[in-house]
Amino acid sequence: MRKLLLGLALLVGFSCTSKKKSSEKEFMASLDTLQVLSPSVSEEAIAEIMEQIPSPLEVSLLLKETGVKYNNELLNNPQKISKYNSSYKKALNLGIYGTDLGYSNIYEENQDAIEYLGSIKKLADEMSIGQFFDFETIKGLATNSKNLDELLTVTTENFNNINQYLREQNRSSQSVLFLTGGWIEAVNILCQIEKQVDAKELYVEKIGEQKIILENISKLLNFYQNSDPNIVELKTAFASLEKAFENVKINYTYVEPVISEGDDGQVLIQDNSTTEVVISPKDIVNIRASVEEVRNQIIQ
Amino acid sequence: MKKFIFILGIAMAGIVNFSLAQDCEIDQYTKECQANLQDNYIYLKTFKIDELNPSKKKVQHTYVFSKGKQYSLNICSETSANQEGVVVNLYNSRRKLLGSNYSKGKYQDKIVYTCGATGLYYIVYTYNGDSKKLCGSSVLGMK
Repeated sequence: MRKLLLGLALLVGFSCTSKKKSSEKEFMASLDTLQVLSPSVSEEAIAEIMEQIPSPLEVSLLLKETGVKYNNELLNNPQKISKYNSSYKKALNLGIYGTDLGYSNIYEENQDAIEYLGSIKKLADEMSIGQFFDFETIKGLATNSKNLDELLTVTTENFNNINQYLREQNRSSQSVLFLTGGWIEAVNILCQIEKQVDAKELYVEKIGEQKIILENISKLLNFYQNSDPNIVELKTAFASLEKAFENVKINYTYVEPVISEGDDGQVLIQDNSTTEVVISPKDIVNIRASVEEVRNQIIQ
Repeated sequence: MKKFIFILGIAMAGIVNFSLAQDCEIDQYTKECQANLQDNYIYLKTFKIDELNPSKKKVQHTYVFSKGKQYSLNICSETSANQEGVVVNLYNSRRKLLGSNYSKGKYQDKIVYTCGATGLYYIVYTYNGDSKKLCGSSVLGMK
């Protein structure tokens, strides 16, 4: 009788946990032998900083809206995937390719998007997070130009789910690397475009604003610098980037917002506050060089 | 008798799984909110609001908004129909209130925010209802 009751309890317990265990096994097998210790701050604090970091899609969207032509020479080569052997490199380059995919998606360059999709799928599988990347659905949407909104939604959601899963599995350091790679690629595209165009003002301002994001990413990297030796290396490369942004100032002026009601009852908030970015041409040159340096270190 | 207990056990396990699945179909609310994003808005993030309950009445999220961009925050929850309250307040980096979906006793399910200053913003969810656990989601889009 007792055995039977124990069996029942196990059955109930198993039905609730079996899904987690198989994926846990898979990712444990894929992790490097290198041990990543827990950071000195709570997972909650890390998650709070991570969620602030805007989507790299914002940069691609800005470029498309301002009439900048698509240029895949600015992106990482999708065939370089075989070079990324460690979980550290895989996580960083998953971020790089994620931004490249978003860029080619926004410009509806389907052939390039499908190549990046293939590389992302492979990297995600190798990191045991491939189950969150719905390759077939995204590929189907990417080949049909009518579905751009849905394509961007599904792709963004997949990446958000990957981030959430990594955090839940105590693999936040990989999630930080993924976000870092994505951000570096977006800033590099922005810096390269700024160099090429004549009307630079908007791009210069956008580059200067990246100081806010850099501060957040640096904080995240600091959390892991005593626990993950790979991040120490990356942090060293980031030091030159922090120095390049040192003189950039963002001045904020508060003005009362105007609130009104839209046609469908929605609340409309018009924020009249402004920011002014103070940045010199020399700062831009230094930032571009530092971003290139960090990116090259990641993608080599 | 043993056979009966075994069958009962299987049935119980099924009920446990079924009730867990029925607990909160949060993805359904996320999808509903995504579908409500108007044309030209790009989906950015989901802020789930299933953590809210009478003992945890406040959840805060943060995001860096960009100057010149328009953001839409859609709220979808089981309480939408009876107006039992999820209040969403938007604050700037200095914690100054910019606006809310709740005004004069009415809850709105969408905030459209036009950003004038790039920086960190706080999106604070407060729950005024009495459901044991709130089931819902909210979605941030940008254009």
